[in-house]
Order: sequence, then C-alpha cells, then structure tokens
Amino acid sequence: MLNGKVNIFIILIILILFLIIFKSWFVNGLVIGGDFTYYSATRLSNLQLQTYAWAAMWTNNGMGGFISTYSWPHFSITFFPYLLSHFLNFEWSFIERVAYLYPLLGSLVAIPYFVFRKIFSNVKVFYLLTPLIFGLNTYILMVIFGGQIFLSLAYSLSLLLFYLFYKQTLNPKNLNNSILTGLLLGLQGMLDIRITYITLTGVVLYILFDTLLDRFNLRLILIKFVYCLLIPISLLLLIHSYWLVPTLLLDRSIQPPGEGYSTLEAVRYFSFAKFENTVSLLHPNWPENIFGKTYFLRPEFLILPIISFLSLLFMGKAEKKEKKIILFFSVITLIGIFLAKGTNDPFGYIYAILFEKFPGFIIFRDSTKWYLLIVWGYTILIPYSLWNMAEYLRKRKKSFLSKTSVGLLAIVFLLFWAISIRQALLGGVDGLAKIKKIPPDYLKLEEFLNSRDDYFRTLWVPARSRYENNLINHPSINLILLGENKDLYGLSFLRRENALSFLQERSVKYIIVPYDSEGEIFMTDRKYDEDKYLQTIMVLRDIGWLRENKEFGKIKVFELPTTQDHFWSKKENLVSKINYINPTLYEVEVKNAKKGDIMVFAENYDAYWYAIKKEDEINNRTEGVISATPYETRLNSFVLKDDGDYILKIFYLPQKWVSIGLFVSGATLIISFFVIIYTYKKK
Amino acid sequence: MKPQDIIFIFILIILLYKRKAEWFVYAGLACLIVSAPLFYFQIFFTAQRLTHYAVAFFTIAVLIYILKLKKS
Repeated sequence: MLNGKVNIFIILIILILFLIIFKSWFVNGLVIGGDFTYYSATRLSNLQLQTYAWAAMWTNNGMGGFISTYSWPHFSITFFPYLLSHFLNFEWSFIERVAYLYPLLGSLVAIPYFVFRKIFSNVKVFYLLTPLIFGLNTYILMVIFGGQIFLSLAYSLSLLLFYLFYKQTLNPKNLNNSILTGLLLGLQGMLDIRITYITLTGVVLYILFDTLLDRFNLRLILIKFVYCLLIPISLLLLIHSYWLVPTLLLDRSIQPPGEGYSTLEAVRYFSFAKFENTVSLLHPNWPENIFGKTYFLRPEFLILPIISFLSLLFMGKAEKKEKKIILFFSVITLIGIFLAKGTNDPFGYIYAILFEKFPGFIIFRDSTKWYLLIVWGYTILIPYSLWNMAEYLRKRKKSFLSKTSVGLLAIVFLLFWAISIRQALLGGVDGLAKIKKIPPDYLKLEEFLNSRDDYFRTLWVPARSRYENNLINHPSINLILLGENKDLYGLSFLRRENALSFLQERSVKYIIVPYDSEGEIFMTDRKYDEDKYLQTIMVLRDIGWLRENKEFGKIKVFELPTTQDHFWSKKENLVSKINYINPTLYEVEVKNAKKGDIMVFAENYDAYWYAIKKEDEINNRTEGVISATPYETRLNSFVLKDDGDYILKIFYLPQKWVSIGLFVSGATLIISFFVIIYTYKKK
Repeated sequence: MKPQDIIFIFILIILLYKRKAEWFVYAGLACLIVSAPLFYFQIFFTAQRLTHYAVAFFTIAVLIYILKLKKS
C-alpha cells in the first residue's frame, strides 16, 4: 500500500520534472537550435523522399558534392516531415513535435523503465528512477538542448537495443527477436550511426562477457554468434545499402571531411571532458553549453559513482545471473569513463591510438559520445544500489528507517537529482529549451527569393543564418567556407581582382549580410559584436561591382551586375534551355553547337558527371558519352562532340548504385516483416 | 612520482596481497568521498588523482569478482 503511494508520488515528480525542463515543447512556437533547423513551407515543399548520390545544397558549401557517405540519416530527416507536410499540410512547429520531440520524450521515460523491469523484476520502487538517470542527466540534456535531436533519439533506443540483444543471449534461437533487433538497429543507424557503433560495442562486449562466464560449448557459441550478431548486423548493413552500396562501390572513404574531423589535433582539441567529469556523469559544458567553455567539477556529482559502485558490495548473496549483470554494467561503465575523456589523463594516448588505428573509431572526434556507456551503467547500477540500501535499512527492524527506508531513499534521491540539474529547471539552459521566433525579415527575404524563377546562388557573408532556407533553385554559400579564404570572415577575398568573375562563374547573384538575431555569427569573445556586422556592410559597400539592392530590416542584400546560369558557356547563346529533373539529372538544350564548344556546369567538379545526347541514349549509343573535365580545377565542363541543335542529358553515374542500394534496403525490410509474421503465425 | 602516487601504490600492494574484492571497493569509495571536499576547495591535483585511484580500485575489484564468478 505504502509502496503504491510512493510509486505514484515518484512517477508524478518525474513527469513534473520532465514537463518543467521541456515546457517550451508543449507551448506554441518554434523549437530550433544547434543542428535542429527550421523548415519553412517552401523548404518543406522541396523535400524529397528519394535519396540521391549528389547533393546540390547543404554539403560542400552549396556547390554540390557526392553525398552518399553522409546519407544515412536521409530517411529519418525526410520521412515524417514529407508525409506530414505533403499529405496533411502541417507546419514545421507541429511536425517537429509530433515526429521527433514527443517520441524522444516518450522514449526517454518509457525505455529505461521497461528495460530495468525486465532485467531486475524483483527490484521495487527504484526502477521508477531510471527515467531520471537516463533521460535527465547532464550529458543528454546538453545534447538535446544543443539541437542534436537525432543523436538523442538514437541514444534513447540504445538501451532497448541492449535489452533485445540480452534477451537473445537468454534464448539464442529466437529468430523473431533476432530480426526485430536487426530492424531496430537499422532504424537507430538512420538516426545516428555513431551511437549505433557504441551500442554495438556495448552489445559485443556483453556477448563476449556472457560467453566467457559460461561453460565452453562450441555449438552454443556458434548459435549465439549467428542469432545474436550475424543476423542483426547483416540486417543493419542490408537496410543501410542505400548509402553503403554507392559509397563502397565508388571507393569513397567513409571519413568525415576536412582536417577538423580526422586529425589527432582535432581529437585533442575536442577532448573537453576530464576524468572527474566522466566519473561523475557530468557533461563538461554543463549548464551553459557554450562551445569550448568548461567548468570545475561540482562535487555533488561524485555521489553518482559512489552509489553506482556500492552495488558491487550488494552482490554477495545474489544469483549468478544478477551478479553477471551487475559486473557487466560495472565493466561497461568503467570503459565509458575511460573513453569519454578522450586524450586527457590518465593514459590519454590510448584514445589517440584507437582513433588512428581502430576501424571506425575515426568518427569519434568528439569523445563525449562515449558517455552513453556510463549512462547505461548508472541507469542500472544506481537503482539496484538504492534498492539494496533500502532493503538493508528495512532489515534493521528496530530502526525508524526500517518502515520508511524505501520511500525516504527514493525521495532523497529525487531531491538530490532535481538540485543537481537545477539550472535546467530554473531556465538557465538555452538552445532547444526556449521557444524561438523567426524574425519576419527572413520570411520577407524568402518571399523575395521565391519570386525569382531563374537559377542563382546566394552568398552569405560571413555565414548563413539558421533561418535561411536553402532552396533547390537558389542554393546558398557560406563565404567563410569558400576554399579561397584564409581569414575568418573572408572579406579580403571579395576585394580581390578576380572575385567578381569567380562568383559569376558559380552563378552567385546576391550577396547577403544576415541579421544575427541569435548572436552566433558576428561574435567577439562568444558575444554578439554589432561592430563586426557594421564593418561587414561597410566593406561590401566599398566594393565597386556590388550594388546594394534591398534590405529587409537588418538583412542587407547586394546584387552582382550579372551572373551565369547553372549551365553556361563563353560562347553566346549555346545553352538555350535547362530542365532540372533531380540533383543527379538535368536536360540541357544546346543550339548552334560546334564540336569542341565547352559547356560549364556550375557545381563542384566530379569525374562521375557525364553528358550524352538524348537521342543517343534512346538508341543505346554510348560512344557519344562525354565525361566531365575540370573547368579551372573547380567546376565541371563538357567538351561537346557534335554540331547542331540537340538535347543533352547530364547525369551523375553513382545514382545508379543508389537505386540498387535502395532496392536492397527495401527488399530487406519487406522480407524481414514477412519472416516475422510467418514465424509468429507458425508458433 | 608524487607522494599521492606512492601512498596509492602502497595501499594497492596491501590490497593485492589480501585479494579481497570488497576491500578494493571500499578503497575506491573512500577515494571518491575524500576527493569531494578537495574539489570543493579547488585542491585539484590531489582530487583528480583520487578519482584515478578510485577507478583503478573499482577496476581491480570487478576483475576479482569476475574471476570468482568464473570459478564458481
């Protein structure tokens, strides 16, 4: 009876804590921040479910590039927004909540509770604290409020995946569970492939641990290998064929671009968490979440490892199965503590070696992702410890605590947790914790750009605003990311002699200075600097070939005198008509062409772009295929082989492999569902 | 080598001689408890070292428990 009242009280308090911390998600308005961007009505209408091997927008700075290596989140980003906007006409503020934010909250509450109950069915009351530890720790709060919603969703699924693998080891020949695990792993991989890597690390460690502690039985080991690992991982790879096939077939390394992602210097720079942070499950940037700004350890967080590792002392009379679980989660916690600190002491060089040598580890430039293993550990160990502490006090029959130990401990822990994350409760955390409003000037700018049917690019100086909407026929470029620039704001580049022709060749029509409403573009010492904004405008006004065209509040729009189209030639009137079909396919009508004429395609050069006469393609005549050659090393050009008027089909060859990959992914899903239904009915 | 490390090694040797997993756990917990006020008073070097020692003690404790479980 008393336990029932305590249970209700704990559930209520935890729900209230979630509601207070995420209150902005339950009122009207936009939840935007970090990597979680805004989709205007136009951008939603541009969404496509189909995945392409070439992206004209967002990657490679608006100049296009091979995208398959980074297409793993494609369906998680597009599927629900596409359905909800195209068929039900919902706006982004509704879509983001229904498709992502509410499912995230639901998973953070329900999954740890479910998993703990399944593993430790004898533990009363304290299992209710698992959503607190799993869903309201400083690591995941920083990730969520930093805008990494997809990573958070992958994180929320990780514990459920562990449980499915754990269940598989108890009943190795359960085919349905094996397939379901593979499907869920595939889904998690679409949200964040790095979290899938960590989840699999934890799972493989458990299977090895489990095998090590059991009596040697080769047949059982082989069965476990097949059902626990081979089937789920094969399904993961098959479901992800849509990006794996083109990536592997084209021998494009699965590596993040640029030195900022793949060098040891970058790893050392991003190793913000110290050992005492990881031991205490305290994110180094808590609570302000300002990049690079870390804080001294708050000693109260040391209570977490104290309670967790106390569980080792309570194992004495437990069953072997229980001891195995406690020891495994202790091991996984220790591994997480060690890895999450990156290259910091002690033995930081081990992380550096792993980063350079261990397959796939190169994706962990940011070592804090390994906090996931610590969270797994503490989510299981802390409630287990608290329960055993309560039982110990209960058994001291003459003590007042014997009757109230359960309720008292639970409430004290709840209070402690609430105090430790008080900044989140008191509104001291920014990012997705607060409602944002789109500055109306950005809507006016979008309307202005949308009113133009012709193709052009916009150059944002120094960088795009988060409210800017990259559109199919008006992609945007960040000046600071242009390869030509060495200084941070790139303004010196615009003063160069060849700057005008450089931009014209890239179809840039407008140069835009953004209104920095969030104070994240024009910054000095991490604060908004109005002088930098004004200086940028002054520099642009001084450039002779630029004309100040329009302004939308603080958004300034400068116009170039002329610009080239998406396909152009120095020979006048060669390119007559351009028909965009998709990012990997265009039809271009040429008139009065002569053999040897050069047509430029204003996207980043890639040797897999080809051109063929439409009639040659219909008649299967491949000898007329023209490969792209570099135009001044950066853009694509096609040297025409025929005279006359004709239509050229411009295509990106790797798209063929995407289609094959998509077929494999789709077939895997359909067959898996049929096998599950068939096996279930057979039982 | 710092004095803190020498004390740690001395305690470690005694605990390894005893080979009782529970004592390693107590040692680890004690390190964490002692480190808390040191962090509060910003005596960082010793406080950080204590967290290192705590994890070392827990790691050895876990290894001993695993070996015992395997034997049983």
